[in-house]
Order: sequence, then structure tokens, then C-alpha cells
Amino acid sequence: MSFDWQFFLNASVYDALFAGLRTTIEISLYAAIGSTAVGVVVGLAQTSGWRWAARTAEGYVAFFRNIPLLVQLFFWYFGLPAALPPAQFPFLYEGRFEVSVAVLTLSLAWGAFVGEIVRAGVESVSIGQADAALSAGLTKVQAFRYVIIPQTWPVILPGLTSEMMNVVKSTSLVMTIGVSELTWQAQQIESETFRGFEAMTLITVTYLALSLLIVGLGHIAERLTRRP
Amino acid sequence: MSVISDNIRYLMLGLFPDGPIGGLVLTVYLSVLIGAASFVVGVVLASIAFVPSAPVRFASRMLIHGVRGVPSLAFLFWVYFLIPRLVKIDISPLMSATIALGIYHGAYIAEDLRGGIQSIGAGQWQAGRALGLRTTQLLHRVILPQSIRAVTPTLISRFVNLFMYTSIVSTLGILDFARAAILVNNRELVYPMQVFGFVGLTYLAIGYGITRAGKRLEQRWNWAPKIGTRTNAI
Repeated sequence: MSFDWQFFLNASVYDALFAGLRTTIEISLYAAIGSTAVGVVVGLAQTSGWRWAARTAEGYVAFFRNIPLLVQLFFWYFGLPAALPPAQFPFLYEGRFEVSVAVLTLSLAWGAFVGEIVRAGVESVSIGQADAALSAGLTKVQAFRYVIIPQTWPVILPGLTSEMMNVVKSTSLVMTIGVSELTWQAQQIESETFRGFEAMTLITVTYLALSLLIVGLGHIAERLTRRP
Repeated sequence: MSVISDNIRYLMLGLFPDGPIGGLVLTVYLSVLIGAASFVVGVVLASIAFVPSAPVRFASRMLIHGVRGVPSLAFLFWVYFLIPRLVKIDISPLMSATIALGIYHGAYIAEDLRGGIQSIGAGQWQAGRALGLRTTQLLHRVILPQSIRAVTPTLISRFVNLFMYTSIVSTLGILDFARAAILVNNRELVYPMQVFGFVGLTYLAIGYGITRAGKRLEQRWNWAPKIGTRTNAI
């Protein structure tokens, strides 16, 4: 079997590709927002100084980082309807249930990784900065807003960029619970045309482009937060 | 919990002894195989940075960056469909999964090692050169042993990750631990929490075990410089 260049001129291939790409981007965006929100809470809890909050957050990170995403996906996908039966909680299962599960799982799992990055960022600011801000008369919130957070960006942003790349890449796993994203569409194309290698090449290039886009956005964010 | 004890044999061994071995044993076996392969690939790719030929260096950088920008699942399928084109023999899904994930994680290990190599002081290079070592000898005897020790924590979390993400081979129909869980769940239907909870916790326990064993290894080598980078691969 030779490489079939005609494959790339087929309009229906691109219809499937773009349908998958839309779902991939949709899930990536929601999961990126969700995991960042979870990560900020987990990271701040670990650095808060409250022992029980720090311990809980540490446990959360250890738990969600050490269970394969695939198993987590199946756990929520099959477990949620068993724990909260659709008969009693119909609102949970309206719309595309598998997409909601995908976003939930990715947010919870990647939130643990983002939490570690936020923790590293806050810990990189020396305690003297906080003391100086407070003794200069800033309130705690002001100290955080104007002194601590601006200094965490150089540490957080590179890590966050690679984590967001991981979020996008991991959306390929949600095909296993039946979400029709990019990899799922490639499998469909393969089963219809028997051109698996061409289909996979196409989506591989698409994922590469998405990764590059995120790296680019990360660089822009780093430039915007650079202090004079 | 009877759903677990009824199916424990299937979860651990798959169809063995009536068929090929599967389940947790296969997952562990695959992890060891892929771990060894990816380590070799990583060392080779990291060493290529010292090859005099610029095109070769460029190709290796492109491979590393390309692989790191692609989901492991997409890469797995890509290699799965690529190999039959390159060689005319039938190759089992297990074999192509090992090759694909070996290269995939190898690219990440190469990047980790690069960090380790950069952490080795110029004095080591100069001392090696002064003793008349060739570049290959210098890498083999002086630089790489120190770099690998320097990035041990990163490598350990990489191997934990590699162990966890062998679960994606279940999408190729390989009966590993994750796929055994899916099939048990499909058969039993009403205990998804128990089945996936048990499987998830088993992964967690083994991953934690690898981390602890790695910490012991690190302590034994604790004279080495440390680079505290945290990593993960998908």
C-alpha cells in the first residue's frame, strides 16, 4: 500500500476532521478553564498554612496524579449513573453526557497538576516580600494582588503552558467513552476508507498545530506579564 | 466486593492459562518492556546532540519536538498503521504498542536527560578531554552517568507515568489491566464504582510503590546534583 495523496483532496474527510476538531477544542477550552480553577484552589490550599487544607490538597494531588486518566474516565462515565441514578437526577444526563464527563474528568485530573505548578509559583516568592508588603501598610488581599501574584508569573506560565498542551493532548483519550473528537473521527475515517495511516497523519499534524498554537499563546502571556 | 473476588483471576491474568496472558501481569510486563525500550531510545536521542553532523542533530530534535506535541494515543495509532507499510510482515498489536510507546516516552526521557547533561559542569568535559577521551567515551563514562543521577527524580516520575499510560494500549484491543476492567464492567454492569475503584486504587498503589522505591534509590545516590523538575507525559 502506497501513500494515498488523493485522500487529502477528499472533502468528506475534512468535514469529519473539522467536526472532530470543534469537539476537541470545545472540550479543551472547558477543561483548561476547569483545571486552572481546580489548580488555583489546590495550589493555594497547599500554601495557605492551614494544615488540614494543605494535607487535603496534598492527598488530592497524590490521588489524581497516580490513577490513569483512562480509568478515571471510565470510573465517572459508568460510576456516575450508578451512584446518582438518572431516574432521580435527570438534569445531570441532559445533553451530551459523555462530553460533560470528559470535561469533569480532565478538569479534576489536570487540576492536580496545575495545583503543583501554582504551589511552586507561590513558594518561589520569598517570604520577605510578603512581610515587606504587609509592613508597608498593604492589606493581605492587596499584598497578594500587587506584590505576590505578579512575581509568580515567571514561574507559573511556562509550566502552565506545557500543562495546557497536556490537556489538549489528553482529550484524545475521551474517544474511549464515545466522544466524537479528533481521534474518534480519525478512527471513523479509517473504518470507512481503510486509509488509517493517512487519517492518523492528518490528525497528528492537526494536534501538532494545536500544540504550537498553545506554545505561541504561552509566549504572548509571558511577554504580557513581564515586569519592566 | 464479591464482584472483585469473582473476577480477580481475570483482572490479574486475563485469559491465562486458556489464552495469552493479560490483566495486571501484562500491564506490568508491558511497563518493564516499554520502560527499558524508552530508556535506550532516550539515551540515544540525547546522545545524538553530540553527533558532528548537523542534519542528524536536526532530525533528532525534530523527532523529539514532534513526538512531544502529539497525544500518545494518536502516536500509538499512527505507528500501528505505519509499521505494516514499512515491513511486509504481520506484527502484533502488542509489538507495535511497545515500539510506539518506547519511542514516545523515549522522546520525553531524551528531553529530561538533556536537562541533566546541561547541569554537568564544563570542568567535567574539559577534564575528560584533557585525559584524551573521545566524545563517545566521555559521554559513556563521565557525562551520562552523572546526568542520569542528576535527573533521577524526573526519571522516576516519568516511569510512574509510563506505567499508568500503558493503559491506552487497551484501545488497540490488548487485554491489559484497564481493558480487563472494562470487560468485567460490561459483564457485571451494576458495579462500575467497585470495579473501576479497585483498578484505579491498584494503579495508585503500584505507582506509589515505584515512587517510594525511587526515593530509596535517590537517597543512595544523594551525593549527585539534583534538578527538581516535575514531569508528565500524555
